[in-house]
Amino acid sequence: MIYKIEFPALGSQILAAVETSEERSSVLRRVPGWFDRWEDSLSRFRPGSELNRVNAANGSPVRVSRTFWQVLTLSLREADESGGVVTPEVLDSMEAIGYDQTFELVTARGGVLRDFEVSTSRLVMILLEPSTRTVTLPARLRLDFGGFGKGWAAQQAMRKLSKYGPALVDAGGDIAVSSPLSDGSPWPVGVEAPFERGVAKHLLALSQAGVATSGQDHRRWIAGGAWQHHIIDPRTGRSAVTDILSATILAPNVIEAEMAAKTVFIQGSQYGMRWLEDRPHLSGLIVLENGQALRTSRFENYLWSIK
Amino acid sequence: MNSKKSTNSTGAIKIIAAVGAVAGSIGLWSMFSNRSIEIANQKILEGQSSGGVAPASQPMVVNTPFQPDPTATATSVPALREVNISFDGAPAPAQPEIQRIVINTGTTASGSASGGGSSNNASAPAPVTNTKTS
Repeated sequence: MIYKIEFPALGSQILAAVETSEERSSVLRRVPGWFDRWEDSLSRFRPGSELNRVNAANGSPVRVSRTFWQVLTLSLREADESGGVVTPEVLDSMEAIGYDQTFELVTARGGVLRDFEVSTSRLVMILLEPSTRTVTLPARLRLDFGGFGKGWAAQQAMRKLSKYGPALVDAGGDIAVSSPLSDGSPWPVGVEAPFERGVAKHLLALSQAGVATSGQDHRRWIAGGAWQHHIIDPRTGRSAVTDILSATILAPNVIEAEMAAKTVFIQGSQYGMRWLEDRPHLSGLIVLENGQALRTSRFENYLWSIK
Repeated sequence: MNSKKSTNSTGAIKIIAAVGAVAGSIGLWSMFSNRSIEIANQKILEGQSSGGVAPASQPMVVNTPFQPDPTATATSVPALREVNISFDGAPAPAQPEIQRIVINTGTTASGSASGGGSSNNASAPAPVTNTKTS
């Protein structure tokens, strides 16, 4: 039997599901606590969070938790793999475009566009001491894990739940699937249409994969007389200007899917389709601003049935 | 013979007199002792009602009739109850509940090495969740 639990965390709605016995399904009650702990470490909206502590250290070394260490080192690796397009070094830009409070508060108040000067990346100047898990950021460098933290949390929760049976965790659109159901069936996951929350246009059959979607149809607000969204192009320090409305990417795990979705979204459809086709472990569905949908050649392998 | 009887009677009287004296002493002591306690109690009450200093309380040692056995195990543990506490009249957040879900997959799908699976059944199941912009 499949059991699920849903709750809000990390500014999103979380769903965790596991196929197991009724007795063992009680493990789901622990999932909100896991997310709460991770949020304490990774959220910039919790005043005492580890992330805020590291950001405030201003050049001083800070000993960090295993969670923080993992997320930081993975995000640096993904920054490298994306050619610097997806980076945790966007907090100043994010605040400059008005995303300086939780999204609910930003939309209620409206954003304020501030001047922002783009500088070269300083990620290589971060000092990491693995033996003591000590992090030293260069002075005035501040980080924001954003969606990356959510993807990591989805992957981590899925791995913990998979000890009890096949598991799926959806952290606000970052979806991690551990394995097929006990009868061999894949997990059915709908592909939501942009601007139509809850309406699935396609159905994916996922056995062991990660899915993530980046887009400008959600988390958008008006600041400086123009629409802003939360995906920053580090080359401009502003919301990415792109022909893509949303990009849904499938990958072996949700962390890679999250990085790939942002890379494709920021780089645009032409570059994005080529970039995806060059990577056999990735496939995707891109919806353009004009409504046209583009699929990579391997995306069909994941479709359950098309109505 | 008579003088012997007289001696015995005198001894008996002496014993009775002695017993009576002891009993009388105990009675008098008890009476005065009770009286002393009554007077003391009265003085305490008078002191309290007149704002005087009450006598300091003395520690009391109580022998408990039951000493717990550290090796014993409980046969039944009372269930813990969750209590929601709210402040400023705000409703406490609802605890998420575990729900059971059913996936009607119809036919068994075939998985692929790359992580996907496929099925060509005519009626697709309801999705467990949807992708969405994160």
